[in-house]
Amino acid sequence: MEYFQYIGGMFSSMLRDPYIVALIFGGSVMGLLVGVIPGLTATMALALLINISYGMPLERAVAFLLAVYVGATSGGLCAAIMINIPGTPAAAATAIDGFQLAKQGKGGLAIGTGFIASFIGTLFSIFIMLTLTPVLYKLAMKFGHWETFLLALFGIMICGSLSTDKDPIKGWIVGFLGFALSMVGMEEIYAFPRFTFGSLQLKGGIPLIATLIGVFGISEVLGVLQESIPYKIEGKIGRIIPPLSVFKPLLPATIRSGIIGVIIGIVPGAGEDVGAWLSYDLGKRRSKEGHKFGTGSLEGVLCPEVANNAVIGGAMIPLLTLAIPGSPPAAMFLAAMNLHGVRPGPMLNIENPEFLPMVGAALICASCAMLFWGLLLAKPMVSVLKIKREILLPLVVPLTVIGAYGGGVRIFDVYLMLFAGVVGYLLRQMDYPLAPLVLGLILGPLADVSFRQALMQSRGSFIPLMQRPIGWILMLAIAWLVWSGVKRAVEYYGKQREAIKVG
Amino acid sequence: MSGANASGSGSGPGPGPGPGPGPVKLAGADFITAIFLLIFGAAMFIGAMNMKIYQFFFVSPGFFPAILGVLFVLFGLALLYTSSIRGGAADARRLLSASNLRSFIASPVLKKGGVVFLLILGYVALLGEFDFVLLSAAYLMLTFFFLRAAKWYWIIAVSVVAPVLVQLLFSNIFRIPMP
Repeated sequence: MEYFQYIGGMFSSMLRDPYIVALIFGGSVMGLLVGVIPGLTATMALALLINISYGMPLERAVAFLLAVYVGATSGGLCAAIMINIPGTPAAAATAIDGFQLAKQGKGGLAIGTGFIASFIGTLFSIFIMLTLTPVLYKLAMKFGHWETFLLALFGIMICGSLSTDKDPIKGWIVGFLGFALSMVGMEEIYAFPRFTFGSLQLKGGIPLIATLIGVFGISEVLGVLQESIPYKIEGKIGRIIPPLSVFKPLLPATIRSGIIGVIIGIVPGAGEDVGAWLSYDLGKRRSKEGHKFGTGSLEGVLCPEVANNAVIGGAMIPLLTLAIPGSPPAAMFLAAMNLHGVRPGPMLNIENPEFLPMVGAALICASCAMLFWGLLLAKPMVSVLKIKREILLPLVVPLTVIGAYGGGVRIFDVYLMLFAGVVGYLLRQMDYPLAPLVLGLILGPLADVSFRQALMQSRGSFIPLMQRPIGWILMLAIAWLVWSGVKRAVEYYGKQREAIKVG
Repeated sequence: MSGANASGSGSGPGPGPGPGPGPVKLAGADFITAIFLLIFGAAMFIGAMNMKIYQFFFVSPGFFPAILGVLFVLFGLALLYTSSIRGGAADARRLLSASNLRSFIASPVLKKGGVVFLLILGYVALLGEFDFVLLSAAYLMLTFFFLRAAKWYWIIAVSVVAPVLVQLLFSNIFRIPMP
């Protein structure tokens, strides 16, 4: 109880600081606007706006970035509903029923329901995050080098498996490519320069923020500007705020979607889109009104929107306790926190005990700001969709340059960003998911150092690993992921082979 | 996840005109990637094995990259197999044939994407040589004109006002170092 009172105190102290309130409301509206525009994701919103937080004190930076995160995750629903093109991948499932509602002249109602659902989803996940994280801190303290290594490996494997619905091997390849990129630079045990090819600039390693901006920003600009499909806004927006009676029968779906979102958020790198699709799919099968899904059901809008926002709080749990981000935007947040000198992980509770309540309070404020702007600005946000992509996306490029340059104040980082953008673009074209790459870059050094330190302690023996129950659980989980992933790939390519024979 | 209609969120036109939609769409590209992975993995392994050894190999800097090198070779073999059963080798030969490369280079999608990329490349290459506001305004103006994004007076207005606003916001208000 004392703990929640402390969070309440933190919340009220944030509200008393007008600068923080301005940052939260400003960050929220910026996030919403970025989210509204198809092609600009929550990760990209954070990538573009992270540089604004460089000079801020920690509390303000946390509040601002989380407001952007919540806003951008929620903003995608406007485009999904009104033009059947999700603003962010997280809103892809929302488009199915949302667009049908828009065609029936109920687009505003769908948008209002979506924002309220997003608000509930975020609050639900914050509650779970604040309850579960302190318990997990204690568990994380029991993690040794073996467990840390296996967890990093598990993170890459599960992220690779979940981020593609076709061939998990492609997800794993990208994840291990992230591991390989993170090997560049001075390694942490002997300060030996690896794969630097004599370049002084590479000795510091591949800069995380510049790489993420390239992979998610530049690749998106290149990809979207090649398309030439004009948007068509369907129907009039109509009434925005739904009557409260709409939500009463949707309570079980809300709770179920919230739980799915949090669980998916906890899974490393799985992301908001996976949570939304799973929740939509389960909602369709479990709901009494499931047969109406796809024809313009408000429940079909609510399920993915609760879940994709519930991923936010869920994604913070592994980030805060183990320094493993649960989603790509959470990875951006982790990179920003590293710049501010905060080292998430098991020791965070001891080194910076105020951080978790700060994140909780900032997320509550951010979700309130998101709901406020979402309902107030729904109509103007839909009007933003009338601005051509050919105007909006080139404007993003100077912002990506500033973001990449601001991290290390080196032009070299901007060149790397561009290179990462081209690599990201090519990977997208060949159906490779990008989320595992981010996770690989973050977890690579952790996996390398913990594996070698574990072997150093055991003098090269694997026997100590066999005596660790958490290690066994993780090994079994990895083995299962490999087995099920290979099975899935064999089935997928088997079907393709059959199709070729028939065709 | 299936069903996403996300603009720019993943799928896009394949490299060059393929033999049609469906299973073999990426078979050739996967075959070429597999070859690349085999070479990359082998190079990584050799590079790692040539790194300095401290006390034991398993604590040395090259240990983990060597494992990754082996993994990439295994992934390369897996991808080679999955692409081969879909006719990847033949499709790769077709993709790299002179006639296909000619039609690929002539495709409007590549031309548009190529010019957009070259404009970004030029912008990035000239950073530090010119004033950020001037360079950004020139980049935006050229890109907008190429994409025929708006009427000429709007293009000029947006190209000039946007970099000035960005400079004011980031440099003067948020005190962010500018390139």
